[in-house]
Amino acid sequence: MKLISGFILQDLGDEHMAVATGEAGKVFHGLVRSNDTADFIIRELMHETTEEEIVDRMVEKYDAPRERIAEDVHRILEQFREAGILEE
Amino acid sequence: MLSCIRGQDKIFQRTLGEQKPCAEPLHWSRFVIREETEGGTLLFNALNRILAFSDRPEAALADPAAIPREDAEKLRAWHFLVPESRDEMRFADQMNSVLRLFHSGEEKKRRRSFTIYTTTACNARCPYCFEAGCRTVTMTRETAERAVDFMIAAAHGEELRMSWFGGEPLVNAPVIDYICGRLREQGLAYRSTIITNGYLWTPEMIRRAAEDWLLKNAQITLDGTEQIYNEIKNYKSAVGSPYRRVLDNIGGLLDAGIRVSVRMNLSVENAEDLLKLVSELQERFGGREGFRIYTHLLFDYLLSSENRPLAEYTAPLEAYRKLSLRIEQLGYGKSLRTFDRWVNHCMADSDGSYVITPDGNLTLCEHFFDEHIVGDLTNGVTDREELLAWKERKGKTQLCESCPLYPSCIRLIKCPDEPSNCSELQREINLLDLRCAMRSTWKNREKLNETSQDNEQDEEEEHR
Repeated sequence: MKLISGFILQDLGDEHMAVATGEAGKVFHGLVRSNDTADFIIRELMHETTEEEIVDRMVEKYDAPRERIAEDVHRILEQFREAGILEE
Repeated sequence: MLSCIRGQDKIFQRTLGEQKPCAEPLHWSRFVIREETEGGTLLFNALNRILAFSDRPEAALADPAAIPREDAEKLRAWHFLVPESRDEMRFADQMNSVLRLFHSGEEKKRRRSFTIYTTTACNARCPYCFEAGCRTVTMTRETAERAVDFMIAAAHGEELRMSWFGGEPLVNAPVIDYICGRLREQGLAYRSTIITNGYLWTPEMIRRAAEDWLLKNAQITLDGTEQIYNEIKNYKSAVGSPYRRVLDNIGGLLDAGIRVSVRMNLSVENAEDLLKLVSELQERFGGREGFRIYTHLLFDYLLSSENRPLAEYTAPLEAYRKLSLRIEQLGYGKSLRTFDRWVNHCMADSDGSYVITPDGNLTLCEHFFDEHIVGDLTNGVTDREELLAWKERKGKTQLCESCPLYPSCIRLIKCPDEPSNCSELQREINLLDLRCAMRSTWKNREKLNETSQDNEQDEEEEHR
């Protein structure tokens, strides 16, 4: 899975923002404002990946229990699915 | 004694010139606005935009025959006193026709100012936004690339002037980076300004704005003190107090040498709070180089005021008068340049400007990104009829007959900011602004002279 193409990402200090252009803009009309964790997931989704791979990469980066990370990743991916911005 | 504070622009010198002596009795031109001030009276002529100062009180100027001869001759030469038989409206119409002809001969028809909608998306949700409910569309890298090519071709080597607009333009700051990067690579001269809510700036982005975007001015709207501002803006997923964050960002922009114009949208409801806001801003930024404040009455009042008596707008007008005066007292007066319009009304009829929409279309008015399209980045202007329609002017109304601002007034049929006919409210606001500009120009006359001398000295230093 990956994010549909056309998202432009930018760092705003302690926040991050993704805005949809092109194809993505036809499906998604809002802004995605995110913290570091969600931004990490969005950046992983800029290329083809799996939920499991995202969890693996986050476990490497963040000092938190795998179960907790897996729950967070799953929750965020569900939000993206609902918004229609994931290609699977 | 009569002195000239602001002389005629060159174009007026070459076309209108001085009024020769005549045998006919003279009276005050209906286009002269008099404003009594400390030590005398300010006089502004809306026909040729001359500002003069007389050390006599206004009452002593009422009768032209009682004015000392030397002063009366100057007033005649500067078109303040005119022959009684002159049809002044007709004279002003003829004058404006000549000016437009003059201008069209000199105009090189190069388009070098571009308002660029980076996106129509916004992180704020202001209740009065004219774009509320509009389609959300954000400029892609490919469109930005076409925009650069188009601007370079349209400007014919002149310096490009870009205004970043939205939505909230900083939502798509990467596209600004990209456009400026491409222009730099090509070695082209450019500068830019931005209209932003001011929330999304970061220190790193401010650095890029100053160094890479060559940003000279940021217009930021503040509609109230902290609590009211935060409620009105209703930012999506805001962290902390957006008001404080925006004020910090204003400080950062000023530190980086970028001018900041704070706009206050005034309504009867937020009038008292805006007075408090002015004090807060003055305390924090007063005296900072490049900082200024101004107010604008919410468009809803002006748009609803057509054919309605001024008496219905006593409250908003009084609020505007009070806030404007406070802003003026703090040294942020208006400029007479606002009243210098003689060839065109705004960007829409200027022959020098395009609006580039996020999906690569061209319009002439920044209030439209989805309609009134005149062409696109690939094909240029494709709808010449639409382009010409933006030059069509409204006809005279009954209010024009008694309006002292008639010679400097241009109203476009397609303008969405104005009622289809002028209103008493609109005229009163314009006159308040003009009187403020007259006083400010008078108060700053010595400062302006000093600045101009400083600039001349700087230039001399450079030549050495």
